[in-house]
Amino acid sequence: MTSAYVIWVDNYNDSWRRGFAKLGRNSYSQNNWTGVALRQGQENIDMSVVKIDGQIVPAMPDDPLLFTQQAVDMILMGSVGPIDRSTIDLHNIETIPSLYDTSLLVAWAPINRVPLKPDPSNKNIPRYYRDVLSQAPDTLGNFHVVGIFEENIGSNEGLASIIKKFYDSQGMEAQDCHRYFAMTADMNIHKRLLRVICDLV
Amino acid sequence: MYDVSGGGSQLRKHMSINLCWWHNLKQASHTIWKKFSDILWAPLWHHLYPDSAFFKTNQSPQDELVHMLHAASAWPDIRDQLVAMNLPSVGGLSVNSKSLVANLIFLFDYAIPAVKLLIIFIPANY
Repeated sequence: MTSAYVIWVDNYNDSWRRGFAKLGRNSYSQNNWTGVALRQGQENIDMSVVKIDGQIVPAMPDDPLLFTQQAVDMILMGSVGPIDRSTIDLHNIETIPSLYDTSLLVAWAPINRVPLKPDPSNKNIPRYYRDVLSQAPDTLGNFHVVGIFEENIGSNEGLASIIKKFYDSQGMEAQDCHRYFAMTADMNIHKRLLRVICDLV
Repeated sequence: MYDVSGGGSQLRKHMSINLCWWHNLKQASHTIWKKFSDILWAPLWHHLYPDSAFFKTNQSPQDELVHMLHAASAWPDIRDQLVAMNLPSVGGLSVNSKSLVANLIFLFDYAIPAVKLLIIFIPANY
């Protein structure tokens, strides 16, 4: 089993731009660099490709909105347990069970950190989630810098160039590429990548 | 770039593109902040911090989250009263006031609690 990691990309020099009063500010405000890092997984997750009838099951569906209904159901179900979907009309709030009483804010109270993060020592939190929170997977200890690319990911050309670098360096073109990859990005990059990856124009 | 060469389908065969987890939370908070700023967040802000500027679309995510968290914590104290005011049989409120009450109930009972760590609730059979 190969260890799981997530590729993280973002504009690099926002903090530099803020740090300079005048000197070099214009250069840094153009976001000409892209930071790349790997966030390491804490558990063994098998990232090997899955094949059905000899064909690789794609890492993403053709239609990114394919599971919208399931996502809405999960929002409701996660708080109130299994639901009878036939009794709920999402356009009529009277038919939606209240999410407040069973929300994490109440079930895992008190939650009062900003940014929001449940306290791992809170006994109201189930043991499994406390263990995950205790591992603190979001700390910099699990964040490994790959480097800074001399590309502006804010431009379409820079975005394509960076994706192509990943594509080539990870050997995704090869027929025997045997694992999946996961990439996370901010709103702007994610939106543009979805347009490319799912042919949404 | 946005051509029909098939590059997109080739890429998504091995790679999934995800919104950064923090950005999901941030985006949802922004939407709630913007949507309910006229009826709650702006008046509350000016009540708490007189003479300070309120930003409907450019408030920091930390500001938004901490105000939502504290407002949601106070919700049980006013919930019964507002739900009672929202009953069809209750008169005396203007249409605008009724709408305001219904929107506040929606905000605290559905909108804010819906912002959560969805990923930990994904059952294995999905």
